[in-house]
Amino acid sequence: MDDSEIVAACLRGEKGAFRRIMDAHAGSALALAFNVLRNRQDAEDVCQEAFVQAYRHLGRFDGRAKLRTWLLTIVYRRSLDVLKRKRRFRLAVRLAGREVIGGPGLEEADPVAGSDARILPSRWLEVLTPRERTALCLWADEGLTAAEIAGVLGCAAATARVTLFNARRKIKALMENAHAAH
Amino acid sequence: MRHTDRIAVFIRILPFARWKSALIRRHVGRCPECGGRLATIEEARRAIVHADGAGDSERLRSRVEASIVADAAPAACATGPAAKAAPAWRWAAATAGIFAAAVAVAALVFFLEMTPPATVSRMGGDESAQFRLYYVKIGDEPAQTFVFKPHDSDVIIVWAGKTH
Repeated sequence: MDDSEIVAACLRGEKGAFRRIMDAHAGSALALAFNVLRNRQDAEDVCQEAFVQAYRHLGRFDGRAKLRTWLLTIVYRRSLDVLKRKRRFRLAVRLAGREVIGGPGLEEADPVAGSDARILPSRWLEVLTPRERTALCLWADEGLTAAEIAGVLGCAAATARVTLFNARRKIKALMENAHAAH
Repeated sequence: MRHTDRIAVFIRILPFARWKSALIRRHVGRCPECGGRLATIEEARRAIVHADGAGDSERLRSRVEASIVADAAPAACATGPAAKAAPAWRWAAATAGIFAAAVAVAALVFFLEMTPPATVSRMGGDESAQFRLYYVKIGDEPAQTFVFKPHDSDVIIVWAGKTH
């Protein structure tokens, strides 16, 4: 069953159609949100909001892009919203002369694979901008082309290619530094 | 400076993404030295978090389903009409805006037509008002000037011609 058929089934009100969409794309959505936000709890919250939004506006899916790309676009935009909210909150706290010491949604990314002393994958992503993290994730994990990445980022394909280039260059430099350190 | 660093700097200083992209495609994509400075897809995969480690898909699904059930009945899945309602609302707002602008323009034109120009009013209403023309020059030489004033109009026409 392709994207348009499954969306049509969902719009007809067929039970289980949206569950099939979630089964197919929840993992990718969570991975993208986690890579952008570097916080598991925030990633789950963002994905929940994104899927509910997608469910409500499924009629707007026109089939020009793949359903996966459409969903990941929503996840990316919601993730940016969360990052903006956090930045504003941190600024407000700083202006109030207080220090952010933690709290829900403010803790640093939890380690992904254990907590050994070497640089964890999630720490490498800190040097990338959210846009670069998204481009890298979509290219490496989802196998999207520059044009498809541009669709998610909401920019031209050339800009997406440059963003991906910068992300790959930074990650390579980090890896070489890590190798040199050992 | 190494060749790869020069290319990286060059890419950074180029003003347009299209130019940068062209350089990346035409040079970096083919040059093994420059390509070696970029993470491969396997290396990039080691840097990012994958779907299986990102979170609990099952928990997410149950959370979403709970939200959807609380939010609306299954029929609400067909959000086509809701999606089309927004453009209709925008069309109505745009039409109202255009209508209001047209009314404003018509009122302005009506007002301007009702109010005659100040000079004409003064000429017609006030007998002491005079039209004076001291001299007209064409090419730094005095011009031959004729002044016409039609009987049934307040318009004054000045005709100036070169003197020979």
